[in-house]
Amino acid sequence: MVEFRVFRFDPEKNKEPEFQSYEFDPYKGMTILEGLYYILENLDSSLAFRSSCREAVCGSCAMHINGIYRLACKTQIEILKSPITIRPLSHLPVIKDLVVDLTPFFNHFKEIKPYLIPKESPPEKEYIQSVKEREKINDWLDCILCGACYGSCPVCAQDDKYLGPHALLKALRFVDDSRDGGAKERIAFVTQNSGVFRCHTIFNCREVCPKDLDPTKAIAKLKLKAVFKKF
Amino acid sequence: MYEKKSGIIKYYFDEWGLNKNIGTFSWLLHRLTGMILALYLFAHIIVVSSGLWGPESFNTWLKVVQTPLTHFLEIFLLACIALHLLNGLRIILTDLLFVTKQHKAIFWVAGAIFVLFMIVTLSVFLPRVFSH
Repeated sequence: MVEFRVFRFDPEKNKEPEFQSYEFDPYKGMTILEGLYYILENLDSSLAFRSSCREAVCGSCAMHINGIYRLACKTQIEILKSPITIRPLSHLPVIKDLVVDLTPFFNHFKEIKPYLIPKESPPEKEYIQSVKEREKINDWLDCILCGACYGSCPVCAQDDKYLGPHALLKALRFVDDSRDGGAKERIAFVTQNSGVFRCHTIFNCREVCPKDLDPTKAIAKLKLKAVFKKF
Repeated sequence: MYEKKSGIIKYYFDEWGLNKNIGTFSWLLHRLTGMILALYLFAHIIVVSSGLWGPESFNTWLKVVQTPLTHFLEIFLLACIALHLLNGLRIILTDLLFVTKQHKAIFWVAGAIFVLFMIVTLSVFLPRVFSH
């Protein structure tokens, strides 16, 4: 038997959130997400949570599971100690149960202009990128925007203007891209008051990232680029 | 929608409760030691600035702070300085050399240096505490 202690909050019923326990027999290899689906289908149909791809690609099911922010679809029940406590992502308003409002998260993401800005004199045909130039951005590409880093960052809790590890990682991805012409503008933007220098180097973002990315390193690189204007 | 609102003290406890790892621990320690050092700085400036009113005033203030308790607090102060300094160096290393992957190892190295530093500190300052 495994016990799930799930964060519950219904805006129509509760003023404060509470934890509700569910017990069931998991099968071998059952993930947290499958456990939540089991509860939804057999024990409590009022439970709300987000999920989509079930294979750690979409980033919908990031939540706080037994002390660490992780993807529910990627985490097996048998590796965790029962009772398994599940909370929604922190630093974001809770809409219902495990569903949070990601608007602030995506607003910060949009602020850094997450698309290629053309250079002053674009080439006639396509932008040619060498293998070496492409390798430069390898480490910053795989972000699935799950929000685990944003939830784990204590700075995001205090400063809602802080861009957040996800946005800063993406900013470096475009600064380092040989096809992008907006490096100056991007560096100027991330060095604002709520940008890279607001980071306290707490390393939580790199610890929780389900895709093993390193936003702390990306922020450190942006800081150095900003100081020496190396871009 | 539910938005958690916590006061400044509860905020630190909440963050520690949700992220119990080396990074959060060193950040909290850095904050705490930083605040202690800022408070010490005020006390230090008050004592030293008494010299502006002549040597007698300075000597009187120095006598006030030459007690076993203040000598004991000196050990605590040095511990705070060492912790703040070592963690600061750890962050500078990360920012300049991008050694984020090794941050846990650097934390333990800093911890070992801190222990060595405290052994030396105690051997020098403990006799002072009991010399009064």
